[in-house]
Amino acid sequence: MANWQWFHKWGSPRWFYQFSGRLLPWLAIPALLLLVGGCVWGLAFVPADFKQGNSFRIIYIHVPAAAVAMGGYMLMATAAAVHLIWRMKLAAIVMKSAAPIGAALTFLALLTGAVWGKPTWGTWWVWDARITSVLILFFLYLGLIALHQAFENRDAAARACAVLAIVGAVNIPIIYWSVEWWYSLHQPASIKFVGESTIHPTMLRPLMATLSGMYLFFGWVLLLFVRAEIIEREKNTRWVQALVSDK
Amino acid sequence: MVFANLQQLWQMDGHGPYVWFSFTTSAIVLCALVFESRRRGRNARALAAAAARRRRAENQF
Repeated sequence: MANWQWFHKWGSPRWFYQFSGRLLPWLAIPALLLLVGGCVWGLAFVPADFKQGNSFRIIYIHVPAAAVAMGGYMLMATAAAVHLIWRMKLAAIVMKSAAPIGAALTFLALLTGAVWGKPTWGTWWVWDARITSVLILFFLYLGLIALHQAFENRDAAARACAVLAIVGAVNIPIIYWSVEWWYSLHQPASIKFVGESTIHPTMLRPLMATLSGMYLFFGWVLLLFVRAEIIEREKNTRWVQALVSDK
Repeated sequence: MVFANLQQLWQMDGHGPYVWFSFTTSAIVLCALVFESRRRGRNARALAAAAARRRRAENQF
């Protein structure tokens, strides 16, 4: 039973609030350094792509936004499953808090993709499988936010959102594999899980910096949203009242 | 730097408007996320402080 103590600890909003407070600077500072450093590196110190010219530099914001939008959805779907199975309050809070961040990053991925598409493909938008499935991801995030607000009862809202989040997770492998399964203007993945990446190392290094920076940024902002939600939900408890009275 | 001067960095052979628009918009959206999360935190703390004051006032009477 002792092995499961960590799991029960994660279910305690009070413990998580205190623990996450210590994590915040370790996420925020590297996130900002990697994002700013990676963007400056990619914008000014990497040679232009021989086919796309300088427009390829949009990759340093487009790919991290798209990757973290998908990763964020998987985290949200996992939190949804944990909430449905173990009724963990904190999982419902994580699920609710991840939605606006994921929606903002998906919006960025769509916008920067459209802006990149104009000089590269000659069009802002095409209804191909990759772009349409990312648009569906954006609507899923917005749908989750709207669904949560539609319920008066917080538990009913969390259950409904959890079901939608889990069902919507089927879209993530579709997004990832869409460029392999269907004809698409969108190029296949440049960074591969298996096999060598098709992007030159001089272009890859700043991309890895902005990609890791975006994951850390997501973690940082997610914790800020989660901590705000914990305080809001637990405002009548003694520990929160002691916390706000101390300040 | 791969560009000879700041003018070239700004123009990027005609791709500057696309690139700079993407990065500026992204910076605005990411900053907005941070501000919104902090605003929610401040509001939640203010609500909790009001609840604590109410509880103290009730306990006095």
